Amino acid sequence: MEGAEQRSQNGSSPETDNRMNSSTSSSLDRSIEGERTLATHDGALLKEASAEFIGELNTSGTLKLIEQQPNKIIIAWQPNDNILITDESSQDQDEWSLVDTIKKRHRTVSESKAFNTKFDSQATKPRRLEVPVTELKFVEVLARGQMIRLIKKSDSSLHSVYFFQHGNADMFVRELQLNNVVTPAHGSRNLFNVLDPDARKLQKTFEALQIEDIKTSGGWLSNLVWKNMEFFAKVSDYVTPVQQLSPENRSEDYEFLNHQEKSDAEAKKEEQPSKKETSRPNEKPMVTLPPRRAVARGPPLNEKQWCEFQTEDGRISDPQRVKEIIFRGGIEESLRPTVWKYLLNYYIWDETTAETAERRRAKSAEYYQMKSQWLSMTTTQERNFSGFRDRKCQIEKDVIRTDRTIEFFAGEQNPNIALLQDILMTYVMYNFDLGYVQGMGDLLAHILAVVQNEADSFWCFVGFMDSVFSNFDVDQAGMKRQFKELHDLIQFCNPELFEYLASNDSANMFFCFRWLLVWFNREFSASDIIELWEVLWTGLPCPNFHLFISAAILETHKQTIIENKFQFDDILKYVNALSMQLDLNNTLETAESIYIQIKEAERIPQKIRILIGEESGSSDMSESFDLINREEEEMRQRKLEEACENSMNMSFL
Amino acid sequence: MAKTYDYLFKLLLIGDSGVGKTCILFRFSEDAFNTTFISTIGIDFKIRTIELDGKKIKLQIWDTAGQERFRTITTAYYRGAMGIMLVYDITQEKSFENIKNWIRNIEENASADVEKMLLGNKCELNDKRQVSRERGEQLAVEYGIKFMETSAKASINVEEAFLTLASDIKAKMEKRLEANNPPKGGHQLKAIEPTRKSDSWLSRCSLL
Repeated sequence: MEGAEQRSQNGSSPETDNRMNSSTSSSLDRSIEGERTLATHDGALLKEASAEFIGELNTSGTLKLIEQQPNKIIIAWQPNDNILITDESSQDQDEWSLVDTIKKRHRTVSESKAFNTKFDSQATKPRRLEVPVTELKFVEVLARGQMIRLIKKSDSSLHSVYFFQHGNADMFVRELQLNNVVTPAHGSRNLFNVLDPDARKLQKTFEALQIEDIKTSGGWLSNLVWKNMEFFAKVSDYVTPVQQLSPENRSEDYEFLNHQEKSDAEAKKEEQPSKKETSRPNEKPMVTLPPRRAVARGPPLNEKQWCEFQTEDGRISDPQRVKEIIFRGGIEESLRPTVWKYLLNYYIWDETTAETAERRRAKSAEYYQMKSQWLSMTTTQERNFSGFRDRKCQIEKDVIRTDRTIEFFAGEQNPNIALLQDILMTYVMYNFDLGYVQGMGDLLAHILAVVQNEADSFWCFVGFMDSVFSNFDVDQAGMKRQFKELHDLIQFCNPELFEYLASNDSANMFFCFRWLLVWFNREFSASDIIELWEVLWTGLPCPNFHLFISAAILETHKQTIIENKFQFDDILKYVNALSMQLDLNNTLETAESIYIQIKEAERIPQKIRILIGEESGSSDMSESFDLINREEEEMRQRKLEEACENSMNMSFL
Repeated sequence: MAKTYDYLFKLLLIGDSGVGKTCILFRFSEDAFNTTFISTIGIDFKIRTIELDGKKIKLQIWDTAGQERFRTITTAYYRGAMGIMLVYDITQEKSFENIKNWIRNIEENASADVEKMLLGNKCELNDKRQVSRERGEQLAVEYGIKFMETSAKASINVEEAFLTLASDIKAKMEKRLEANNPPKGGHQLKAIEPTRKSDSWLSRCSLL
């Protein structure tokens, strides 16, 4: 069996597994003598640092995690000037990642491996800004994951700030975690405490157990447990110091282990009863969930209600209540084009009719300006701009494959297909780094079909993309995160199903890929999907409610899956075949019931609390993002003026 | 449950987005063609049982999303594949150029001795052809693999391609079985697969 062979190979070599499981894993680049690069991320802009680096501010460079000697790890940033990146010449060489031009724009840690070989090979080295991790207190992620801030231990002052031009900080921070440099701070998703060396050692022991990997891959732990009993022995040596560190994290990871041990011990019946610590076959789930409460859907938001919510000057008086009604019953069809604009953050609830009209005018103008940018691209420009060409080509391939069962796009020569293409092309100009990724067309199609206006649809689409942006990460980090969150959720709310999935190599939740990527678009009919989306757009009753939708579907089909003894591939096949067979109302009701049940549970693990937004690292994300926008805007304005002036001067010469 | 087949072969269809992987699979599994296909998201597979030299062979054929970004997901399914169809579109030069990247991708993620075959699809669109038949043949020779031009739409060579790939796998497998002399049965296959080169793909492939 495929799974079995995979397990045994995994189990036999934890070190290899560790590397394998992390696609971002460290390249063992030893460019500076005695130094070992553990991780690297290029396209990191230095935003703030001490005065001596003032000349390097806003310079793009490479951020690295480097081991200088055993137990001396530094974070180093080096400007790009001397880094030789031979994208063109190496295209035909050995890295696939170099070839795709879209990819080139988003090097993340994993891809930048390919570029390491040329680093530091120059005779003169540019100045390097570096700091031993032991001098840092914490690492903070800001601006929607685009920025990280290093804070010093000595006086809690700022050491430096970096802006990630390609992709985001996720992979770099994950590398820091994998290398036991940081650990997530309790109560915040954006703050990471720098571990002191002792803690790091402990973390390493846990890592040897590969908790993260186990969580994501599932299924093969039993092998690891039996083959690596010595790890458990080591863990118990370390258990006491853990308590002093971070009780929350510790207890959780430890519980996870116990739980996983149990499930695997049950699943594989290779009992070794003498090993007490690892085998607790009859242990009850750690938290008993309260009984499930039934909930019922309600009627959709109607015209009358909507009018009542409007104040005289056109503001929407009680957005929260509006959202609650939508969450419970969706929106009447005729109201959708209007209300969606609010739900998707294109219109602002608190703006008057006049302000809304002005916003719409300005946004339309902005849209057509961006549209003219790609329309005015000359053939030569296009020929010399492979990144643009590739995106355009992919869009062309996909729009003709739009779901023609949506009435708005029905028929071979439907002109609305061209509209779809125009909006997606303009989105490329709006966000070139993301560009176009398969699945985005799915999201836009329904918006355009409902809103039926090009510029309005674009901005609604932008709003939708803002909430699912990470689904399309070049390294798929967002998808991986959601697989893990769904894994955690199922494990908590449906241990029986979880154990079944785990024992059939499916705890990694890969089979839910399509659900999560395009928010169930391929699973429900067009009329159902727009209702599902408007429910999800309300953000009620909690963030990540789409994971509860997944949990609800899986729960509904749990018996079939288990009774038929579906294996890894059967599960995928079965789940794919559920497409268009699902009942939306049941699914929504079950999802909400699961949510309420968890919410009412006495003790909820931290990761689930974070998942449902009870604990969030509130941060000034949007603020710092605006700050960057303003800075960039000012700089752009200056350059534009300069360019105009130059062009004027030229024409008078 | 009694086995309704003698062998189970896991096959993969890979290639750029829009070259017709799903249509090829649909033609082979349902003998039909649909012009209004939607792009594939994620991964799926279809089953068809064929008969070769009196043996029932169950083909489990995996269809993947073509866009390169989803590679981290799709490569997880490369493991255990015994045959891979590399598909390009004869009207899309780029999809042909990318075949070498897909081959590299296979080398990194699939077992070393996976049987491969090159398909130039959409051969019914001869007037839009950008890649000559000769170039296809030449590339196949270069990689030491078989080549066919196919048309899922006009039902040209699709059946033949899968039968060829399956029979090559079967021949290779039977040769091995003979050498190792284990008992017959589908389950023996995978045990034999990942021995050589396993180290390299283990360290490179990305589980999520």
